[in-house]
Parts: sequence; C-alpha cells; structure tokens
Amino acid sequence: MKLIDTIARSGLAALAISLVLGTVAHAVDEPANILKYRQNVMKSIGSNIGNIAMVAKGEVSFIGNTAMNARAIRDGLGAAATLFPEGTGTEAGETRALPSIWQDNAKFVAALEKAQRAAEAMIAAAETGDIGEVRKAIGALGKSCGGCHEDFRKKKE
Amino acid sequence: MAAASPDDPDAVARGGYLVRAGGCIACHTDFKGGGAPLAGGGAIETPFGTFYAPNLTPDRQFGIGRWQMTDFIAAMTRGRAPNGGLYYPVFPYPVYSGMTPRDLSDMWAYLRSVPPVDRPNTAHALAFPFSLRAVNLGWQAMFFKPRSWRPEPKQTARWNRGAYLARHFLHCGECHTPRNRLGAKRTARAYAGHRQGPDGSTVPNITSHQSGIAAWNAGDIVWLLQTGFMPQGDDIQGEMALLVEHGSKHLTDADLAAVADYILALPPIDNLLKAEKSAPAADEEDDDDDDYDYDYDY
Repeated sequence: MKLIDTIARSGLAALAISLVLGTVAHAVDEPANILKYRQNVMKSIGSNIGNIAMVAKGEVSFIGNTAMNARAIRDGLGAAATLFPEGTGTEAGETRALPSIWQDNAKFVAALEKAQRAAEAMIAAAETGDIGEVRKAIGALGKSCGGCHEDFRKKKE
Repeated sequence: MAAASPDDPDAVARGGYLVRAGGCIACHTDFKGGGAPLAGGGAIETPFGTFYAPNLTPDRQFGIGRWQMTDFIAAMTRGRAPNGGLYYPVFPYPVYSGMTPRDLSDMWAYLRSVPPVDRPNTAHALAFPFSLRAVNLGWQAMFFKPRSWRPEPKQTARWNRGAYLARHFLHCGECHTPRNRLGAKRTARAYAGHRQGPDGSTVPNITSHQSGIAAWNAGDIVWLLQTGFMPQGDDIQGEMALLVEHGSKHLTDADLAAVADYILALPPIDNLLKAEKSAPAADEEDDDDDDYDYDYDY
C-alpha cells in the first residue's frame, strides 16, 4: 500500500507542476510554438526527401519505402498549409518566413498546392518500383519547393 | 579556325550542351519577367550595383545578330565588345577564356541557331566609379590574364575533364570564391564561400573542410547539380537554382561525376558561414587585396 501511495502522490505532484508550467510557458498554439512545430514539419519533409535521394542515387536499396517517404511529404505539405497563421513571422521568433506569405497569400497557397501535386506524382512514381521513374519525378518536386522557398523564405545569411 | 555553321546540326547540338554548361541561359534570361531564353537577363544584385545580362539572340538590333565569330571569341576570351569597350567581369570571361577554340566555335554555332528576339537591353545600374566602363581597363591590367586550357598530366583524365568544366564552364569559383573590394577573386580563399552573394545571400564553402562539405560524397554533388537538392533534403534557391535548372542538370552523368571529383579534391579551407555561429568567418574583414594570385588557375 505504501508503494501505491507513493506513486499516487508523485503523480499528483507531477500533474500540479505540469499545470503550472503549462499555463505559464506553454499556452496551446502560441505563435512561438506553432513556429517550432512548423520547423519540425519542414525538417521532416527534408529528411524524407533526403531518403528518397539516397535511393535514387543508388546508395541504399530501400525503394519499397519511397512511396512512404513521398506520402509523408505530401501530408506534411498539407499540414503546412495550416501552419502559417498570421502572427507567426519574425514577430514570433527566429524564422526565415517572409511577410510576403501573408501579403501575397493566394500565391503562397497556390505554390504549396503545386508542391503537394508534385509529391502526389512522386508517390505514383515510387509505386512503380522503378528507380528511373523516381529520378524523373524528383525534378518537378525540387522545382515545386522553390515555389515557396524562392519568394517566401528569406535567403540564408 | 573554320567558322562553325548554324547549319551543322552536330556543332549546334554540342554547342547547346556547352552553352548550358556555361550557365549562359541561366544569366541571360529573365525568368521572373517571363523573357525568352537568352534574350537578356533579370537583375543581378552585386556589391558594385545591379547588372543586367544582355540579349544574346541573333536579333540584329538588340541581340548579337551583327556579330562575327571573331567578335564572339573576343568577348569570351578577352572581355572585349565589338566597339572596343570592355565588359565588366560579372560576365565571367576571365574563366571562359580557357575554353578550347573548338568548344567556342560550337557555342557560337548554337547561339546563331536560336530564334532572334527583339528585346532591348537594360542598362546596368552601378555605383560610381564602377559606373564608368573605363574602370574595366584598369581591372584588366591588374587582374586579367587570358587562360588557355592545358590538361594536367599528373591527374586522371576524369579529374581533367572535371577541372575543365568546373573552371571554364560551370565557373563555380566565380561565386564561391570571395572577392576583394575591386572584384578580384581572393584566390587564397578559393571556393571557401562568403556572405556577399547575390541579394545579400551567403555563398557556401564548397571545399571539403569540416566547415564546408566534408560530409558530402561525389554522389551528393552530382545529385545537387541534377536536382537542386542538398543531401539533407533542403533545396537550393536563387542564382544556383537557375544554374541547375538551365545548366548543370542537362549535363551527362559522366561529366557531372568528373566535376564532383574535381570539387572534392579542392584544398580544404576553414570558413564557417552558418548564421547560428556568431564568430565572424576567419579574416573576413581583413585588408585582402594582397592575396590575389595572378597565376592561380581557377
């Protein structure tokens, strides 16, 4: 009984601490949090492209995973469309997101949709199991990244 | 040398390949403005002002329709315009001068074969004194020596092919090597990158130092030049994206592999440019006019 009592108490204490921290520092959907979340999404898209590249370059043989990578990219881009609410530019923290995202939002959204279509094409290419098809699809996918990154992301300094 | 004819389909095909390799289309086309290929480029922002690459189509009024092949070769290898004036070295004739006569002749055949476009040129918008075209006389006297390609016998044929393409066509060093205040390449820092890229961007260190691309293999370089993707999955933008799209991605696997060999063999230079590291890059602000090497062949 003593053991259970100890566990219960420590659990309550942890709950109390998390409630306090939660209200103080981690309000749900705070712009800074969205920004960090968005950057994680972008990094995961990059990681998936990196692994498609390793297959296409012939460094690994896991072409069976390429459609999975491409679906993750498509879904990540779909999520990205919801991750740029107003107020999540440089005012929210360190980000290369440019004000043009919100000033020229229609163009931004169109570019994001185009990238999703390029990811769809990559899924189809990967499902053939043919490395040549994957290599062909990568060009359009790469260009579609530039659709947002060229006009809506600050160049590296 | 016999003038290559636009009627010689082999010369035109070879020339088209080389024109792409040289990045001509990437600079001399206004992609943002929807301009025709080679009919004149969009703005190129530099520390000296804004340059606009001129119309290279055979239009007789606005392009190079009145040129002879000798005019083309004088431009490419001496930086000299038909009227006797000198071009700004933003046009990378100092390295184009190392192209072989045969390759120049083929490129000329290709340029004669494209449709003429009557698009007027845009004047450069440069800061004084660079706005005076005569500054190029002094620049040439100080910094220009025509190259001529000679394979290095101690190196492999593949390395030599890579060196020829990287130096004299892809002209990697024109951007990735930092320049001094007079626009001469700081050859002691060859390919080490800098922060004075187009539109204020950072141009990465592409030597195989830890602060550069030590983690990359030949396949990564070929992949970037074919697809515009870096190994970690991020994509490139700006001038380099144009150079891939309208240049390097059209090259053969063998040529790109040769270029990768050459790049990987460059002497490593310590120059960390990542923004999150606050330490300034080594000797970035030094008085750097003394490390120009007249005989350096990059």
